[in-house]
Amino acid sequence: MMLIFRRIVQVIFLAAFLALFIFTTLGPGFQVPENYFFYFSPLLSLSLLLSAHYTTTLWIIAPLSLLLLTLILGRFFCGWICPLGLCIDISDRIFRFTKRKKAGFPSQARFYVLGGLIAAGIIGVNLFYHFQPLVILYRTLAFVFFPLLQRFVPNIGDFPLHPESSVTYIGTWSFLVIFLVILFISFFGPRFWCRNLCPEGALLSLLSRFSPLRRFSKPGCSGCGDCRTTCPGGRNNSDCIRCMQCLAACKEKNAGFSFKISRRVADLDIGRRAMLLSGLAGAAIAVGFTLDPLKKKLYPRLIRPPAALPEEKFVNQCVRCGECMKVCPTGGLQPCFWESGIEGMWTPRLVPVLGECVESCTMCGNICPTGAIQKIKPEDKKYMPIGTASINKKACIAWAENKQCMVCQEFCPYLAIWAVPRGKINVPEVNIRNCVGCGICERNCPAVPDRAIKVYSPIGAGYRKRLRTGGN
Amino acid sequence: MSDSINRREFLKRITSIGLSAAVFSGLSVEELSRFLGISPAFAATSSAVYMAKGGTIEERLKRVLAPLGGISQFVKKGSRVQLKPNAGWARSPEQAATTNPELVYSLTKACYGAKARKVEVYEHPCDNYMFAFKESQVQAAVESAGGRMYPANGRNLYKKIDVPKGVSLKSADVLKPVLDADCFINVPIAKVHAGAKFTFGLKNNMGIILNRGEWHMKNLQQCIADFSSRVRPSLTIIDATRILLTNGPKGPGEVKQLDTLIAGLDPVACDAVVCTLFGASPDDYPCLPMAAKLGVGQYNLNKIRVHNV
Repeated sequence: MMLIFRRIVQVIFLAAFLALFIFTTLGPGFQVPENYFFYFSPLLSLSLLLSAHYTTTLWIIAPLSLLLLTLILGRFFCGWICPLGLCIDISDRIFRFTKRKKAGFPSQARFYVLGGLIAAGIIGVNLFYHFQPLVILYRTLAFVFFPLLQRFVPNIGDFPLHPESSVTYIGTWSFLVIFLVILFISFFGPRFWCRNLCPEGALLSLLSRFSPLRRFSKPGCSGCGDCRTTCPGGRNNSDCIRCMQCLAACKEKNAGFSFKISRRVADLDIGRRAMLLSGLAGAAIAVGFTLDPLKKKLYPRLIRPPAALPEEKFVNQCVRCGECMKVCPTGGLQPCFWESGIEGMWTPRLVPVLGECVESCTMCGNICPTGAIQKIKPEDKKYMPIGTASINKKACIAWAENKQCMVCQEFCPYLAIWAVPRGKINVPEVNIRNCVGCGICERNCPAVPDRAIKVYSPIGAGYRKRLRTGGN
Repeated sequence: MSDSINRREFLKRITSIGLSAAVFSGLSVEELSRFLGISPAFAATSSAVYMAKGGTIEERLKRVLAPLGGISQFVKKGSRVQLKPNAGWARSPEQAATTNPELVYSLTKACYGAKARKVEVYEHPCDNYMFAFKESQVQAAVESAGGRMYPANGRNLYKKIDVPKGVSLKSADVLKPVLDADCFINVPIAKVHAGAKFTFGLKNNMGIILNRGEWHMKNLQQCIADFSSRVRPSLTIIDATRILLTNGPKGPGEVKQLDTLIAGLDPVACDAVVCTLFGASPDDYPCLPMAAKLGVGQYNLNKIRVHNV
């Protein structure tokens, strides 16, 4: 009974998450809902506080309300709300039919993960996004499942799933692999990820152990251990995810939950030495990241979204939810891999060949939950250059082949291309004062596959030289 | 002799009266052909262009279509109509980069007035379609008149067709709905163009093909002319309510209010006449002589009859 009720609640929250995800696109009314789930994550709030020194009222109140509820109801978030939790539950069901391997993995490992992340965060390297469940799910949905879905179901009724007929994301496979690994480790035990690795769960565990909602067994319990074998969380009050599966598993109907305030607080059972080690490991990784040579020489075409924070700050403040890339109406915002160093993994960058930055669109800034991309007015965009276009005169069909083209000027909304008469035809020149680097010229340049006009980022390596020489 | 005349005499007289009346009253070939009940196919070979100035857009449209026999001459009962306005840019109507939405509205209404089954607009826009359709206000115009507007972004909407007369262009991917339509009306806006010098009727047809970049890589002007020999609109109505004089095709540039509408059956003749609005000669717009050479229409202004209506 309780189990069915829990499933319904879980499905409702997953459906809400999916609905917010699907409608995070330009609709007919140009109204885009934000994904409010992220705000309730204490881990993300902590990551913003530690690595970016950033917070807002919403980022304090929402996670605090969840923490308060956790103090009363325990780790109910993991068992009842977390949409990734439901996905893992489904994979659990599949693996229940196979013969599971028993793994003696320490369930305290999640505290060590959390410790490492916090240590790295204090040093100023944001690594939280690798482990935050909501963000992992959103990225997987956005980069893997959404392009697939859109191929088969282009619109719901009259409402297109995406303004672009087919969106693709760079490195889709890597997000799929991460997601599948999280599901497949259920092979080693139910809710293996939640029990052993999830730092969000660890953070909630810290409060869950004070929760008065406790599991008890009635005096007639024979100690058969049926509840223990099915338990996905742990019998301990801090590990217990309040999933109530033990109620269904107990044949003797001796298991129960009740509110009981007790002075006995569950032991966390974290080794002090292991904790210290994990913190040191996190710090060491963070220091290693700051020494990353790629960071010194950023990819020349690392074009950040308009009104993004300065690079250093941006990398720390971005939680890599992928909402900006999902909402980008042209599909031009793509996840980084190595372009801004290891630290900048999965941050958004504009790939003009796939989609330009639309003159009157500020969707990425409006949707960004952390303010890493700031909210601006469309009319201010022309004062916020994200890059500068440069013409490779050896590839340009007007310069090199004497053909009338000027597509770049046709498309440019900022009048940043001059048509210079040369013989019978016009040839393009970039007016760098007007160019904001939206990339519409690059996208539509007919010189394929290597476009004759390309946008270079002011933060990228060799920017000035590239502007002079057209990227050569 | 009795006051009755014989049949031969009667026929002779009535023909001569009719012909002389037609010639002296300046009846166009279309009108004459309609008067004599000759098929419109004959009329389509004529190069008369109708130009209306002043008045509201709806009025202008009526005036321009009246000598052509009204919209019902083109839109038969129960037919599928495809309009091709220029809605390719995210620009407001005042910036004169896109077809005037009022014109699109009046035309859609007129098509439904002629009992069209469906009026559709497929546009393969240059800017992101959401922004282009919204800011040009064309989508709202079409839909408030009862039609539907679709972005033609999907590859599966296109069909490869051969261009037998083509010099540079041998084949093109063209929108299937346009090819299947009973009536295809081209409704471009007149403006200057960075790449093609001008963009009127022939150039506007680039909005129904998939791979535009390819045309630039070949010879753009020749490709436009080649394509016009394969896909010919039933009717061309060029919007010169506002024309864009500089920084075309997207603007923002210098806009001139002309309150003019040009319509005709010959797409080349229409374009040639619109050239004069920009103070240019059709010879300066290379795709027109090229298209004329392929037998698409007449570009020589001396041979085009312009009727101010």
